[in-house]
Amino acid sequence: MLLQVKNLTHVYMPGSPYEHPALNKVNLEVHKGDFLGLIGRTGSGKTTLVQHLNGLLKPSEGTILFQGRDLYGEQKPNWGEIRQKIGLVFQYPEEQLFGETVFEDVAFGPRKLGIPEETIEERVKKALEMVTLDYAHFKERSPFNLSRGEMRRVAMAGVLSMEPEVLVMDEPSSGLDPRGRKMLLDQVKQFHRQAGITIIFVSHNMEEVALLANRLAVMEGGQIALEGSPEEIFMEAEKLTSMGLGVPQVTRLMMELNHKGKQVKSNILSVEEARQEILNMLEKEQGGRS
Amino acid sequence: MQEIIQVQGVSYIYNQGREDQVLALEDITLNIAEGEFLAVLGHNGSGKSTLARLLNALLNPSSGRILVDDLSTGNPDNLWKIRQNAGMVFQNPDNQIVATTVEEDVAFGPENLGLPSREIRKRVDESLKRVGIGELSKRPPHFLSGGQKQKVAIAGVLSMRPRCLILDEPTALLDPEGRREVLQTVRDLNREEKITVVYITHFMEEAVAADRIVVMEQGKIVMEGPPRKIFPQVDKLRSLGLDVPQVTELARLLKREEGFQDLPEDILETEELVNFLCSSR
Repeated sequence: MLLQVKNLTHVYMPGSPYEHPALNKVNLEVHKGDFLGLIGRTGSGKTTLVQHLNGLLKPSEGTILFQGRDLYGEQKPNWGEIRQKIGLVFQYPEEQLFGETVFEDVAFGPRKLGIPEETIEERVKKALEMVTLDYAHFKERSPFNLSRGEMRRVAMAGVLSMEPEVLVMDEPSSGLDPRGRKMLLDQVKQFHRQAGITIIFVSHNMEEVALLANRLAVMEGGQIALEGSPEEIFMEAEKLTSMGLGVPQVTRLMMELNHKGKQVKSNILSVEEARQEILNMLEKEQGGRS
Repeated sequence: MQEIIQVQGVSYIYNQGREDQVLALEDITLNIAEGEFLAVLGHNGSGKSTLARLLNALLNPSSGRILVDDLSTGNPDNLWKIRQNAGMVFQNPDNQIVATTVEEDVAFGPENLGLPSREIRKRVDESLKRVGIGELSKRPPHFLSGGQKQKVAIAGVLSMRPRCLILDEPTALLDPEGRREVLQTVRDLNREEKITVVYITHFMEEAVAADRIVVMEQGKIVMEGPPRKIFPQVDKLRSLGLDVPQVTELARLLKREEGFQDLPEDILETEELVNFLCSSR
């Protein structure tokens, strides 16, 4: 077990009129090599949860174990080491760039880790390649003159250059157009498959996560409301819709066909699956008739 | 039909005359009818936002002319009249909310018009009610959800009694429920109040609701027509970096199968495909 969230509870501004319980006894396990999609509406507790993974927020109750170490026990962990191993890419990370050049920005993390200067260049180069930014072309440029999508990739490279074991991304595709979104998703897939990084991907878009993740956890009101493989989760398409989460249009199509008494699976995620399922349905109907 | 916005041969160049100048719009001509719901699609950098800023006189054309209700945006004397007539809502609600309560925020515009306080009160109440958040009037805006914040922004524009609403990716940062709420509000304003809407987005499924779609690429209009003419052009939309609704693509694939010859090509909503599958057999 890589990460174990145990009974995690977080109350914002306790004792004040604005007291707000954001997490309520959350339990969640992440295994090495997982691609976990963490889904929920705005305000469901996703961001609060991931901020506990590297010590940005402290639990009101409960704790988190990382590789068996209690992050919030009697003995304080070495947060520097934890933050290197669990890389967190914030929402709108492009707003946190600060380096004069792309190189300086991406090199900041490894330098802080005390990595010898000779290997820094190698790390920066590798990290920029992972986000498909050409090293020679981008290294000397100011990060502030790039497009939003490029800035976001530089910010991601700044986390990847620390060579984390777990990469936590908080709504990384928010505000990107379809082309930028597709490119980002392809890259994250590569981090997972080729670099073997465990991924926790926070999103409110079911469609994009469903096809990437091997496990989904759906949050509502500070709790995990559903958990399982994408196929299992989409069996509950009705519930997802009632929670204000969009399901893919083809999933909705299958739900509507079900309502009309048609025998189709509702946990359909892609257009190709839907085509196959509709053809199967018709074949069965015709078979029954003859 | 009366045209409320006329874009006549407009080009726009950023940093004109400098080494890094960029041609953002090239010879755009576009007429928008009073009461129309126009969706403008295109990927980032295609020129959508530049066009929106020109309609609201936040930018001036490098060449060509834009008329809003017959007033040229290039004439500084027309600025306030144009901005009152064509209100704008931006992508990030947090960047356009100025006051500490919802009602004060909505009152900001009418106060600047120098209206009497009774009239301001009336407009604020009406606008909040119109977008369905009357009960939030005393709340601090930063505690609201993203969808609610965008409704505050829309109410702020409505309090100016505009004839035209320009929205620049108003749902890009919202979750699905917030997106649904905002789009529904805009559709209602268009249908019931006959407010002209220019709705910029890269979410194709939101454009299904429009009377007409304009697709932009590299500063030009490359496609134009009603949704049923635009969406079936799956390959072309893809090549422009845009998605198509999944059911439109599914219908296109099914049409190649035996027994689906009668399936219409212009399926946009799940209901249409469900009806076809349930009725014809």
